[in-house]
Parts: sequence; structure tokens; C-alpha cells
Amino acid sequence: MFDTVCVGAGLIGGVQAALLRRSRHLPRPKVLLTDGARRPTFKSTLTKNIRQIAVNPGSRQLLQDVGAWDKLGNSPWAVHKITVWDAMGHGGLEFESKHEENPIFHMTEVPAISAAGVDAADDAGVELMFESKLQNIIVPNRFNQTIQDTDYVHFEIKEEKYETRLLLGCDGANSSVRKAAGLSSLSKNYDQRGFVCTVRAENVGDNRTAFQRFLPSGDVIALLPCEEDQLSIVWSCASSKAKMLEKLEEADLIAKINEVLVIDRTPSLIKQIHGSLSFIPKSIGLKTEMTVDPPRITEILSPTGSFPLGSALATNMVAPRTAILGDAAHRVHPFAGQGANMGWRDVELLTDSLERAHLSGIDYTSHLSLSKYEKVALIEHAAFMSGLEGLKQLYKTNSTPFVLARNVGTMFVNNNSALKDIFISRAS
Amino acid sequence: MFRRPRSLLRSLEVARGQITRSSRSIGTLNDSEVAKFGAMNRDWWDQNGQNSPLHSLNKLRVGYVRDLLRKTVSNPPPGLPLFGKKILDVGCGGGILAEGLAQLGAEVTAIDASEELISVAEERRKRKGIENLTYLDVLVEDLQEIESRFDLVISSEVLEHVEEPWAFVAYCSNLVKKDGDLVLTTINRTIQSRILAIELAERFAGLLPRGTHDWDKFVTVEELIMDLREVKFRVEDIKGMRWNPFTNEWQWSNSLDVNYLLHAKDDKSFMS
Repeated sequence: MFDTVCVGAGLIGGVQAALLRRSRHLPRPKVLLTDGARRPTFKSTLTKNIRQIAVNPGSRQLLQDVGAWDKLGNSPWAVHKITVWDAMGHGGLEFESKHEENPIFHMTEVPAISAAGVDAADDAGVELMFESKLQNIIVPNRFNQTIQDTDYVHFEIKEEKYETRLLLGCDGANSSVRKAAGLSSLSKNYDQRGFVCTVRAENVGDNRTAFQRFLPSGDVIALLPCEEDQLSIVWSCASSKAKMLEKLEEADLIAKINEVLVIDRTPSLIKQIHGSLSFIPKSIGLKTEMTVDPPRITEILSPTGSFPLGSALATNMVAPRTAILGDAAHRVHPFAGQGANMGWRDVELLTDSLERAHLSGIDYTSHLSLSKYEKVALIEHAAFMSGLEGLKQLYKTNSTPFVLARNVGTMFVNNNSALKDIFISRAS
Repeated sequence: MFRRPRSLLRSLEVARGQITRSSRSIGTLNDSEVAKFGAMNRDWWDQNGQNSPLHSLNKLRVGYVRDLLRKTVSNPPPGLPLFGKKILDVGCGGGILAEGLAQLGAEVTAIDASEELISVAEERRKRKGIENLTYLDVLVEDLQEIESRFDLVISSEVLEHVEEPWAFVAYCSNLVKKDGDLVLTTINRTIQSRILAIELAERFAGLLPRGTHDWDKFVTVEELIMDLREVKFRVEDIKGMRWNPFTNEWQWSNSLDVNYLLHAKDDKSFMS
């Protein structure tokens, strides 16, 4: 009998398993980490892995606490500045970290973080089973709780029967745990995709600045530094366009990306307004325009690919003796780079709820404990996602009044360091 | 009724025949109260059922005991802040409080007059493999002859059901170690408790089964303090507790009008 079984050794599974073992407030639970795939390794098979993610400071702290971060060595690439600018108009935002040692986020490769998480779990005394799929998962019936509540989760691995007091689904968008627990799946949305590749670029300086540009078509292109002269590109666009981009020859693709980084589609009315009225904000010392000198792509280093986008949040994250975390429970638009960070946030929120329940004399695998996690996680994610959605809608439109409004709005935000701090702290 | 599990022999150093369940009904409890709660045994552990307030009350009562005793435990293992503390839970029912204390590492002895409830609790204990918890179906007066005393004696939501509160308090206090603690939680006898606990909770909203409480048996804070003074216990702390029926959450409150917790310490050496 296990106290907890974490299904899925991806970005969050290993971290969750290690954290439960290392908790000072839980009585050294017996934890199993399992995955249908092979144990992840630091060396990815591709010369340059295209799956790069941003790790914000809160997540980095968590990874440090469980002993996973140090295993990554020097490979995470610190980013100190984010430049966001609009292809229509003069609006733009610049976020800069205040101290050299506290970057805004780190770029890291997905397989490396997964491997580090598994190693950290191993160090913490978590039992590991790879290439083992859970079968015949039986979650206690939620309508039959009156029976002495010692019903636990039963499952099989390779025809062997197991039992656990708590089952955690860290197994991504197609979560088998979510299905077994009868939790509703996320709504599917295939009309947007994120096109990704890794490129070499020049004009990047020390390459510590991430760029993000809102394009007139409603697309968002993000350039995320990951080595001295390399960038990870995420271009979110309509599915048809992503497919088209995937098929382009290298030279055409380079030209296409470089083009969207420099085009200026400012409506003429806004140019006029800017020309005649910008003396007003200037007279009170505000910066009215941002001159952005974006990187220039010279070479495609990785195969290209794309993944489905769209945001969705599960309505339920827990069932009897079961909880789901990360991509199993939500999906966000990647332009904020928050998907994985939200998953690690789930790890923190869940562990905190379990610890609080245990110290309150409540069985931490029981409904009273899990429902607290569900409540705090849903509230936090819903607030964050509606904020993102609003931002996305704001940049989707091309009509002049909206473009003008966001130009003026971003100008004020960009000139107000207190406001910018709020944005950064929300994203961390 | 007479039980002697092996763990009991070890932990309570009881010789054969020393603990016997009193057969007379003139002790601290009458038989109809025992039967009433015994009949609830099937639903006792349903967190969303009739006992949901008792489950969520653990946050306050276990939390209180934890904060009270944790300073006296040096270097506890992770997650076991009450490691090795000897605690007696009087009137444990199905064991919601007793299990909560045991999961924090305390050596818990839990007693209840209802044989049905003790057997439910014991079945659960075995199923969950909890070793630092002993259940006995005896009354508190039946334990007076044993030699061991407890770091802490707790009786939660019981006092309002007993026949002679003063005698019950005296029996409980007698089992506390020198310098040990006694923690009681109960319901005050006020007009507010009449309205909230009886009229609203039982009759109107049906949150509790009808007849769960008998208002006349409720014990006021003043009465309880006097009873404790009789046995030379000094009151250290009194706190109000408030339950929110919509969220099923308990909070500490400044008002002692309905539910309250009282913490007292042995004062004999101080007063003599």
C-alpha cells in the first residue's frame, strides 16, 4: 500500500513526488512515481531540443527546494529583460529585472527538467517504476462515502495489484488519471497552434532579452533566448498558418520571421495623432515611443513543429482520493510562458493543503483535504487566465480606437515602474 | 463488558480485572445517550454527512493540542509534532479526534461508552494500521484505578451529554499527569446556544439529527470553572469557537456564547 502515487514523470511529477517525501509536515509518506515512458535523461536525442520553457522565480525556488534545480548545472539560461511591442503603433512595454542575480525567468529544456525532477525524487526516497502503465484504476465511488471511508484507490501495473491512499495525475493533457476518476475533460480547441523552432540569431547582444511582438493578424511571436546566440521561437497563429510555416524551406522561414519582426503597420490616423499630439505626454517627461532593435535570424537549428493552443480550465480537480495537477487540469496560451509554472504552482498549492490537513488532524488524503486544494487552485488559475484572455482580446483587434487605446495604455504602464512591478510579480 | 487488547496491557500497565465497565447506569452517562450515538455508527466517518462539523472541528481542537504540546517535544520526526505524548480522549465516539491526534504521533488511548462506536473505530484502526492508538469501551470512572497518567486529557463535545458534569470533570482531571493539561470543548447554556444549536441546527435546518443535544444539559463557562476549582485545576485559557454552516469551517471567536474550548492545568502544588 502506497500513501501517494504520482502518475507521469514529466515537468511536475518528479517534483511533486520529491516534495511530498521531503516535507517536514508529513510523516515520510511512501511515494511511487510511475510513467509509461522510459526514464527521462538529461541528454536529449536531438542536438537542439525544440521544447524550451520559461521557469519563473517562484518555480525556480520550488525546484531548488526539492533538489532538482542544482542538477541542471549551468544549462538554464537567465533572461533579464522582456520587450513587448506592437506592430501597430508605438506602444510597447519593457520589463527589466532589478538585480543581476534575480533574472525574470530562466529558459530550460523540458527533458532536462523532467530528468532533474526524477533524480530529485530518487534522492528523496521515492520508489520509481518506468515503462509501466497504470491499468484498471478504480477510484472510490463518490456517492458511496458513508462506508467507513477506508476505501482507497486500486490499480494494476503489469498485472500486479496495488493500492494507494492518494492518486495524483501529473500525466498531462490526456491524463489517464483524470479519465479514471471521471473528471470532465478540457474543451478541445484546434483552431490555434503554436509553431516552434530553435534558431541562431545575430544582433542579440549578450542575449538576455526576450522579445514578444503582437502582429496585426492577431498572432503573437515570442523570441526566447536560450544560449549565447540561440533563440527559441514560439509563434502562435491559426492552425492553417502553423502548418504552412512548418512546410517552408529554411531560407523562406528565416525571411518570414525576420519580416514580422520589423514590419510597421501603424494606421495612418495613429501616425498623425502621434505626430501632432505626442508633445503632451513628452512635456511631462513620458517616453512616448520605444525603438526596438530586434534580433535577426540567420539559421534554423532544430526541426520545426507545432502544438495545439487554446486555454481551458477543468471544473473539478479532485475526486475521492484523487487529484489532478498541471496540464491534466488546465491549458493556457503560451505567450505568457506560464503553462509549466502553473503546474508547479499546483504542486505547491496541493502540498500546502495536504500539510495543513495533516497538521489539523485530518486525513490528508481525504475529501476535506483535497477540496481545499481544488478551491484555491481553481480561484487562482481562473483569475490569472481571465487576465491573459483579456490581454489577448485587446491585441486581437485592428480597429483604430482600440489600437490607439492600447498605445496610450501601454505608454502609461511603461512609464510607471510601480505598475510594471505588479505585472512582473503576478507573472512570477 | 471487558476488553484487554495486548497493546492496552503494555501501555496502561493494567493488571487483569482492574478495568471493568461499570454496569450501573448512575455513572456519568445514561444509557439512552449511549444508544443514541451508537445508532449513528454507520455514518460516523462520512465527512459530508451528519458529522461533518466534527471532522472540520479537528482543525481547531487538534491544532490547539498540537500548539500546546509541541514545545515539549524535542526533535520530533517529520509530520509527527506530538511524537510520544500520552493523550487520553474521553468520549471518542467513532474516533475522529483520536485518529487526528494519533496521526501526529501521540500515544492515544480513546474511550467511549458505546460498544458499537468503539467497534467501528477499532475496525478502522486495524484497516488503517494505526499502532499508536488504543480503543476501550469503558467509562472514564472505570479508569480511575489504573496507574498511568496522561500528558493531556481531552474530552471534546462530550460534556454536554453527561449526567453529572462535576463528577465527569473530576474523573477526567484525576487522570492528568502532574503539570499535565486538561482540554474540554463543549456548548454553553445560553439563549444563543438554544437558538443556534437546537432550534436552528436541529429543528429548522436539519444540520444535526434531532435530539442530538439536550439544552438543559449544556454547561456554562462559570459552572465549568467552578467544577475545575473543586478539583484544584487552574483555568489557563478559554476560547470561543464559531462554525460556518455554509463552508463547514470552524474559526476561533471572541464570543463564548455557543461553542467554547477550555484549557486547564493541575494547580495542586500551586495552591497548597
